[in-house]
Amino acid sequence: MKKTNHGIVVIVIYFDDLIITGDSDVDISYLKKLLKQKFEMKDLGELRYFLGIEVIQSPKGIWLLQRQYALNKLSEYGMTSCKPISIPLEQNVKLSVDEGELVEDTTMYRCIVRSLFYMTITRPDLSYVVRVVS
Amino acid sequence: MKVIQEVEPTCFEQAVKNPKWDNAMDEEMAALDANATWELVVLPEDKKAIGYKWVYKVKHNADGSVSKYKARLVAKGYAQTYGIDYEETYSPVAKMTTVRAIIAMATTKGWSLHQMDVKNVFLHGDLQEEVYMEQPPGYVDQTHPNLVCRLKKTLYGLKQAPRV
Repeated sequence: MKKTNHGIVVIVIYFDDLIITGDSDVDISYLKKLLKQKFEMKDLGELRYFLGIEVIQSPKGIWLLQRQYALNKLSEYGMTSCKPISIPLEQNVKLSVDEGELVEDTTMYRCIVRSLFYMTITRPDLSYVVRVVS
Repeated sequence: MKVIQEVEPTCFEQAVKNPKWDNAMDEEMAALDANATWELVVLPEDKKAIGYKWVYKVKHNADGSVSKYKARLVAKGYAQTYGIDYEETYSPVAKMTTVRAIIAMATTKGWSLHQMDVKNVFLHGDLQEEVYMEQPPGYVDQTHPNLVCRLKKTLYGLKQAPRV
């Protein structure tokens, strides 16, 4: 984060992905130019897709969605033909360590839990489901 | 809407048969070459060379269409020993909550958000320690097949990689 004469510029770094924001578009363009001189970088323009999250910027506000991430996961886990329902969990589900059938593919189960957890970023209502299954 | 994903090869032998993946590997090797990632040397007796692996990934656009076939040469960093091959590790990774907070701030202040990414990010870091790697399959120097790669820049998979 850096204050300039015009205002403020914020950079968020995730490894090789950068988000740049601030109140001065002049400073943002200048910063981009500096970065491009120093490193081999690609300017992706307006923020649209970051870590599996789609970002839609509009005058009304900013939308965050993980639609594509969710679709990818569905196809990965062979669930593309499943129907959507409004309540994603049966009532009073209790998972038990020593009763009932064991989960066959534990690795895949953990992957699904991880994916669900990642989706709580834009869908906090999934938190309950994640708590039950993990 | 395309939901069926293309199969990604799991090893070099599979990938080399497919021109799309073969191209992707040529591209990666050209990038590594251009960066002077390593030099071919004789492996010192007291050192051992670590292995490598090709990783293949189909990159998708947000709408699900294929944007790129990507092949990446990674070093088997887990074969490195702490104190000998590497010392400290660190990676600049923002927490998701931070990202969300910044986006929220941008919303309330009406700022625009921009995005950039670094090409071959790890190749920007010079390697301090001595690390030797075997020559990658398919790209072995014909005249010096017995030499190893002394890495001069970091490579994906190395313990040193995230520090850059």
